[in-house]
Amino acid sequence: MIRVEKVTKSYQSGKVKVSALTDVSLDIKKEEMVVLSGPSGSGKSTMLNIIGCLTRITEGRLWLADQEVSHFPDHFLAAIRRGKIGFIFQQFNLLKGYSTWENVSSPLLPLGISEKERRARAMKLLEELNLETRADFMANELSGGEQQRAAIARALINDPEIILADEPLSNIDMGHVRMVIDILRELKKRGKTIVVSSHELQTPMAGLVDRTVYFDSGKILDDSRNE
Amino acid sequence: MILNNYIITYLVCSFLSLFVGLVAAVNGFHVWRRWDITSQAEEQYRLEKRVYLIITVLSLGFILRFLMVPLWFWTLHSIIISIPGAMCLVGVHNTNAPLSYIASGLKLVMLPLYGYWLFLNYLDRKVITQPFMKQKMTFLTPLGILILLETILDTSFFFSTPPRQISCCTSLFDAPAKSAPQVITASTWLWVAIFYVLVLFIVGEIVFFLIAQKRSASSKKGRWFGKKSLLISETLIIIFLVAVFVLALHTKISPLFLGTSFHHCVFCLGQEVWDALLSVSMIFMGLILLLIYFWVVSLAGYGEVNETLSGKMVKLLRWSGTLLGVGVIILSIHLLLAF
Repeated sequence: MIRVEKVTKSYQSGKVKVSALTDVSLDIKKEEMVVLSGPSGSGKSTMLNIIGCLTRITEGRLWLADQEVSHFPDHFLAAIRRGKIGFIFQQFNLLKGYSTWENVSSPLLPLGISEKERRARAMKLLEELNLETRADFMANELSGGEQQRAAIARALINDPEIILADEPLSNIDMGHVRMVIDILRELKKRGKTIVVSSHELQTPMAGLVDRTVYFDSGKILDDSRNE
Repeated sequence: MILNNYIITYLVCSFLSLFVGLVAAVNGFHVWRRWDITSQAEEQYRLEKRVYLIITVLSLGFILRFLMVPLWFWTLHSIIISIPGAMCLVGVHNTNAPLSYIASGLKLVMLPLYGYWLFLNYLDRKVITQPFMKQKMTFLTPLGILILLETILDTSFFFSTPPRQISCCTSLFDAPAKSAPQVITASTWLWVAIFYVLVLFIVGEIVFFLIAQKRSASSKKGRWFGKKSLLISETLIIIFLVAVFVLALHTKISPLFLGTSFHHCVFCLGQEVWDALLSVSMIFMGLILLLIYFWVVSLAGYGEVNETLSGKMVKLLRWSGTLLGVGVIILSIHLLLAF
């Protein structure tokens, strides 16, 4: 489903070159749930951004759903992001000036879908995530857990095959952590491929995860199956 | 020098699009030198970002220059009243011939060139490998030179045209110069007949290539793809058709539609007979679209991306046929009624 082959990602800042990832290879199968673990600055979020086609690689190759996308022009990558990938960000990244349902349906805007249809699809997802009563609340009026659920709904609106979550449990309380884990469990049952980045060695999602890939200093130190 | 709102508007648009075009052409040259779809992704991405900027700027610039063509003729029309003796655009052109005629002719030549670049860009963005990137960027250099030439001609015309008296334009046609051959001054159906024969041939070509293009999508091949001989032959045929059409308008259609046997002026025809202007525009646009079709399919490497682009090319041919067909029908109806 996702294949990363000898990928290097470097950033140039003036005369200083920083390698976020060095010669990393990774293979993620369909319907697998993989956690990318490691300390801050280890490269796990960079890897997530590369898989999500948000960052270009410096060297190497990337495949998504059997298609090599390393050299795709940006407007093709945008179509892939829209159709195949759902993002859940650490800071939720909801648009403050818009309501919950408008945030959830925002990925449908480039598709030219009518407002009525967009609201209908957003409401369906909000009902599944027990957020339908908050549909018309502004995004900044939601609690942390509600914002995360709205962000998850937004990630699912186009029914993507791949879900990428960057530290999804970091900014929410324990009660909502269990709720989000239940949502991820449900997504796994539906056959989604899920890649999560987490700095915690013992993540609360341990029971769900098929594999943990441990990053340090831009390289993979360990890639083990969870029994 | 004559100055009015239209001239100022035209000159502002002209210099703005020239500046934009030159900046884009310089950046385009840089991209052309370094574009390589197989190169490292990050370097490719840096070039891509530059390309997006160039394309956006150029597309707006070319659309503006497209709209400036009718604006040019409208601007010339606006200065008729400032030139004693001028009754139509011929009079305005005669105040500063041959500069004016070259400038007007160049505008009509540039239309298919802008259209070609815009359509080529549209197709290029539909294919992942962007196979026409180098061709697009290479084409900017001659196009940029022509735009610069066009701007110099336009500016020279407006700044050197005095509001002097000229002789009435009909004197040009009432007593043709002895050196002018009869075949282009006499009132004759010859060129109209040749025009219709050529139109039938072109319509037949459109139907043939429409069917062949549709078939090529499933068979993944077309023998005419990438053939330079096709580009040259079709361009010459269409240029010949346009020349014949202008002669047909001049010798028979204008006098017939204007109701005066000695009035051959094509500009007066456009000014006085709205459906003639409509039909001539549609015929011209139909031929431009057909020219663009042949220019695109004769590009090296087109065959490899035909499967992806065939649908768009079929649409282009349909539009070409429709515009040409409807234009000819409107013209024919008026011809029959006038006859």
